[in-house]
Amino acid sequence: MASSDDEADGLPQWVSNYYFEDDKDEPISFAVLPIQWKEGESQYGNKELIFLHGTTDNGLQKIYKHVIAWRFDLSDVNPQIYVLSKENNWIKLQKPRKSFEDIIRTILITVHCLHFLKKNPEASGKSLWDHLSKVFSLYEVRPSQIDLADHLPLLREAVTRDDTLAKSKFLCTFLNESPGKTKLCDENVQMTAMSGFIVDDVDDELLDEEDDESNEVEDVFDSVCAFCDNGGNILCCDGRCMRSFHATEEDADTCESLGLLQEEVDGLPTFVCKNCEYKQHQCFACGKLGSSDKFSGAEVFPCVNATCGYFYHPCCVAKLLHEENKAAAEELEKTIAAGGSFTCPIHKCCVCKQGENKKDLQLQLAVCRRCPNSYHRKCLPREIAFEDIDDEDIIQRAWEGLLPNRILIYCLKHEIDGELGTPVRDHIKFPGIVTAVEKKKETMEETKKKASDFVGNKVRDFSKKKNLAIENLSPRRNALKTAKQNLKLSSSKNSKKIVSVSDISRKGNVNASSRKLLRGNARSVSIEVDRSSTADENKPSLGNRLYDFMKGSGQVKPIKQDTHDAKVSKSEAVKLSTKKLSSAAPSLDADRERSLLALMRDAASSITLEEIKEKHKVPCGYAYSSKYNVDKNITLGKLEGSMEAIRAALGKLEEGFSLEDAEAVCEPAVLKQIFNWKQKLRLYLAPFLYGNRYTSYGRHFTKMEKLQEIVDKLHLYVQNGDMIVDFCCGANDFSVLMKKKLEETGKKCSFRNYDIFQAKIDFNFEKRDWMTVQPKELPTGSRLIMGLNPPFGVRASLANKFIDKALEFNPKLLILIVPPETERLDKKKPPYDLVWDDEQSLSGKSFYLPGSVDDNEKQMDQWNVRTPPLSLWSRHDWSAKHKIIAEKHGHLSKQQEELDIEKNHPENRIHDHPVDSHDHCGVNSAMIDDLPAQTDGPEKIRGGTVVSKCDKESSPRSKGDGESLQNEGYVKNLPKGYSKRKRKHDNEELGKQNGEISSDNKMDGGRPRHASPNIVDSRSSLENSQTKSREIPSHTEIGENGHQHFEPSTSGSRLQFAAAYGGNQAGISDDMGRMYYKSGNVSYSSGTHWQSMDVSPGSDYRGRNWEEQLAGRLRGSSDSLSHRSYGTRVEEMPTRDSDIRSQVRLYGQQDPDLPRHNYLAGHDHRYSQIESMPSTYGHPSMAADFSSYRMNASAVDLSYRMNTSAMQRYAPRLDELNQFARPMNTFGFEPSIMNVNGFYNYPESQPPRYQNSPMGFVPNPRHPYPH
Amino acid sequence: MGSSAAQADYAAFLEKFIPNYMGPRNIAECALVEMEDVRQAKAVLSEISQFPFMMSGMPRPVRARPAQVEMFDERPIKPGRRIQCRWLEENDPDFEIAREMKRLTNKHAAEAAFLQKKQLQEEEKLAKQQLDTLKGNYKKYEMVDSIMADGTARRLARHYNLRVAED
Repeated sequence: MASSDDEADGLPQWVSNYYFEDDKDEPISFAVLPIQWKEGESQYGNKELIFLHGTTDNGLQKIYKHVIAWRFDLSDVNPQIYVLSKENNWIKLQKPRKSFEDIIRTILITVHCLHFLKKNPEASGKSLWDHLSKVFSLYEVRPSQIDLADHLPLLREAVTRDDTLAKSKFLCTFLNESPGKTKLCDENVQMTAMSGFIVDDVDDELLDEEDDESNEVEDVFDSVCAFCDNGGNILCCDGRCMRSFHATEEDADTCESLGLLQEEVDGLPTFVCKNCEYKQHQCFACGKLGSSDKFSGAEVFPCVNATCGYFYHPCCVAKLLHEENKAAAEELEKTIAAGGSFTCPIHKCCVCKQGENKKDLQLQLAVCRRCPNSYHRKCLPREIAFEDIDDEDIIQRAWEGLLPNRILIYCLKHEIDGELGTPVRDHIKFPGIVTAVEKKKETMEETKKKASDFVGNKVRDFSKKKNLAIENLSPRRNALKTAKQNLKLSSSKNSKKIVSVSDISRKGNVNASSRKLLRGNARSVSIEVDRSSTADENKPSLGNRLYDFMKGSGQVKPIKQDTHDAKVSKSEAVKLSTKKLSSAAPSLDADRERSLLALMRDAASSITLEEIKEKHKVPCGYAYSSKYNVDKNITLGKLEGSMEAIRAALGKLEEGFSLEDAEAVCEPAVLKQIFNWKQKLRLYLAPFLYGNRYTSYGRHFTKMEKLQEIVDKLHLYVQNGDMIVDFCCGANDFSVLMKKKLEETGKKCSFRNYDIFQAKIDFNFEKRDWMTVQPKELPTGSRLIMGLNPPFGVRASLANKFIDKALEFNPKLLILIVPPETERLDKKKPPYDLVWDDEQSLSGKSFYLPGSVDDNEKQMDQWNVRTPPLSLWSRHDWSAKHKIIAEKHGHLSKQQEELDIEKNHPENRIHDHPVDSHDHCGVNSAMIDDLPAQTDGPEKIRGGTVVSKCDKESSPRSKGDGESLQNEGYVKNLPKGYSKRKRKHDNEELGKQNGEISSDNKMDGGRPRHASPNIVDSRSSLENSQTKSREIPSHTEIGENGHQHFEPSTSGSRLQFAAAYGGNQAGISDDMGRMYYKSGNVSYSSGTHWQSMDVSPGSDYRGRNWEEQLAGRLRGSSDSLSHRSYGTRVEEMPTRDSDIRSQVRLYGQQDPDLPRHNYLAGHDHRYSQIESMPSTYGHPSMAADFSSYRMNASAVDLSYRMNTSAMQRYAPRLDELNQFARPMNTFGFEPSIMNVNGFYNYPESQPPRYQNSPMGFVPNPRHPYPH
Repeated sequence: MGSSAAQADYAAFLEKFIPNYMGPRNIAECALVEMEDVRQAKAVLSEISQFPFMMSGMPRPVRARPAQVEMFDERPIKPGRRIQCRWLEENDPDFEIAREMKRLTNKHAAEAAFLQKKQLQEEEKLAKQQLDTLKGNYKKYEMVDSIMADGTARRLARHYNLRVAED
């Protein structure tokens, strides 16, 4: 089939990520092209111009071709589709562009169908659809016959041309009959079912990044109408029954529906069916109604299965569950009646008594919709067939695709009604309106005439929805409609009258309206009557009756003059009403009120939701979100059911039942669903849940002084003639500041500012959605500097959008304030290089809420929950230049540091910000972060300041810019984060340490990403690679095997590490001890490291990476012991790492015992003054815990955990004590060690620690600290 | 969201409130807000009309329209127009006309009051509905949250080998 292999090399052979467009740039299916059945056969009569877009050559080359024909090849393993380009070159189509998939879906299905049938001509319809569902599993909509129906001519042609296909039974039957009713509805059902759960925000509470498929949320609840068991536009009951109904008659042809009006449905915030409203549910076994109200003596009880929603009498279900064993049944009956949970028989196959497995096709259940009876697919009796078999008198009883992963059947107990295709639909009883249902049935059978009488009789009841019989409804609707039509045509006066006619039917206030009609104008009356009667042929009696009534009451005199119409001439009015004038009171009569109400209704109905949506187009990015789904799809009933089921399932598991039993109660999909729902609800409720901290969705502007800082830095990179584009300018301060600065420095630049709201300053402002700006509107990329503070969106989705858009312009520089989780620009195509980033400068109150004032009329500031880093990205070809500038001006590190010191010093003491930080930084790093603070005066201050500042901040903190400052930043955050988590830990059971740790790991997981660039920047290349390797595991990490994850980068070195210490450990024999010891060293050494470096590899200390880090350091083998020399400044010392490594080692050897045991002793005696000691140890040991967990996960002991948490708990305090630490320092330890310990000079830290971890340490007081 | 607030911020002056003569009730009032220039005024008008809803579809409590002379009761009288008052006897030919006008005015007032009442009812209904929705959803959230908080869901997830995020 390689038809054109020998064509010119330049011609592409295949294309992926493709899509087709016609000459109007509308996407179009290639199926409109003429098909070429045989080589050389030409019938290119098509006049439409169709172009193929896509990429070839592994995405390296873009394609844009005019195509003129297509063909498919079924002989391969997979069907191949080719299109013929104008140059007579066949191009194989590979993967379509995602957005284009829907357009070509049907034709792809058709081709796959042909392919499958060619291979398996004998295949039944069922196996075909199964196959196709598998092939198209990624699509939201299951393939169905309706897809084939679109390409009937193609199928016919294929059958005539291909003998194998002609033999296919399925195709023949399919081509000879049009798709049946239920099948046609398939699609609708699925559409509604799926569309509700299309997650348009990336809310992955479930961490399914690796397996995308399971990320697609399936609907676990069925969504077919409880009346007719068909899909379509359905309304979900909010109650426990979890049923859905067709709400209006239009929704389904044969369904009797709830008989509501569309307007009524739209007006309902939530729909609760009568059963749930009155808490009267039917027993699914016997069909009788019973109270399900648990608080007042329930008679029927719901099945505990999360998705079931059926109720049973205890006796009924007990009988069913224990058919043979009467005693057991009685027992069960009692437990159920007492409130015990049960799983109804529908969840077990009635043949083999086994449970269902939705994932295994054969073990999927076919459930009867009329009684608690179900079969496995494999156990399904032959009589329950998917299609009619005329010879054997078998009628279709089973349908696929209506219920999620189940088969809908009517079991053999129910007789199928020939006309309906289902059993008689009398299975639903609503409490309270039983009579209405009966009436419904009656009227169904009755003649039209009788029905119309009924209308007349029941006028008064019309307003009661529950009594509405379907037959009555339609006329009423018609009347309303005609009334509305007339409204437009006739004069206002007339129209009002007509409306009032419809009022009559609504309110049944015949008297009042008749009076009105009689208002002295026989003509208009007759016209009206005429209209109402002609308008509604179904309802002659009503019109006649009215007319009669009017005649009868003809004597009634006009009581009231209608003066509502301003156009009524005054004189006339005066004449008519002279005598009545005196009686005109300011109060309104019912008549008038009604017409006013009608006016209001009228006005209200002239506004539709669609129009509003149309009119108020939100800027892209703010599009209508999943909010609607929250309301309509997450029903209380389902939620309640799921909650119960989850509890019951867990209960079962804990009682020792098998996993299968639990899954029969609550399948994993339900649980997944719950997690998803939570995420959704949280998103939806975010403004209310988070209040002030709810930053990302509202607008927040960067404060002027922060902007000034940015400008001060950025202007150096700007060249004469550049254009600065602020794509989301807010108040538009940035450009103004920028302009001022640039003018000062003698640069001339142009500016462009966009926002969707009018900016305060209209300097070069254009009110426009950034997404609509076209590349040609701005100068070339090498003159563009773009960026600043875009809206963030959920998980930075909006920020990503804005950045992607900006990248279309290829700007040479991008300056961004975006949340840390934003997709990094060095991951984009083409990648941008990071010049610098600064995770500090925008922490704390860097933003304000425009226009919002607090109680004191002051501008409201906004706390960052997490600091969005400020970063500068350079296009690759410019980055060298920009980096030079950055270096020259010290942007990479120092400058910032100083700035921050100045800035934040005042805030020094404010540790307890109201806003909690949610940091998950490693404890270790926290601990160690403190160390450097003590080395000398200024640094200490820095430590303090940053602490206070960083409080607000989150992960970005892991930056390793070679600044002690930044590293210290973590100090505050970490402990907090941890102490929080600690609480969590306490709640859980002991046996879960692994889990805990894993969670910690996970939490940390995100960080390295942000951290690495800096590290990369600021460190030597050697480290560079180190960091990278570290980064990889962190992404893929899943808690439990953290140990293994680290392996790649660390194992070798760890060995080394162990070896290094092995010798010293003689004294400590037991495992735990050793671990402790080891870890003690670890932390110790790292402490040293810190102190000495004062420094950069902040990221190194993230808890997760601990041993790696350490290992990395140990790896180095240089023995120089000069850590002291690295006292403070680090950036300039590329070699420091190796030195430190050696140090680490040294330490290890020097103080072998140090690790755990001496604290008490130290505290009490020898170090009584220097309480810092103990605490010092505390930290390392705690840090050690972490590392030891990971290193020897198996040997972890509870005590470790205790220690850890205790430390965590007190960590913040320790930090606060920072300031006091300094004096302690003077206690003259040996310089090196001294410093190390000095940091931890927090007197108070020690006692708590001991209190909390008695088991860990107290018992082991050893000889004092070796130094 | 927040645009009205933003606008308020941009407003140069809040000149004065215009009393609402519809009644003494606690109802909406107009205020004259003067912007720096026409452009700003236009921007405010368009922004506010473009975004009539706030979070959760709450109607924005602020609307804007350009000021007109007729909105102010202390406007100078039209040149050449004078209002004259006189007593009408019952047999005066204009008596009935005047009386009718008086009645009409009363009627209009009653109608306006009625509409006002209905309007307030509607507003209340909407607010209640929105509150209910919010409460309902919050209840749902709490429900889900409770099962998360007590660890039930997580434990079950562990049994099922489902991986879920710590949040």
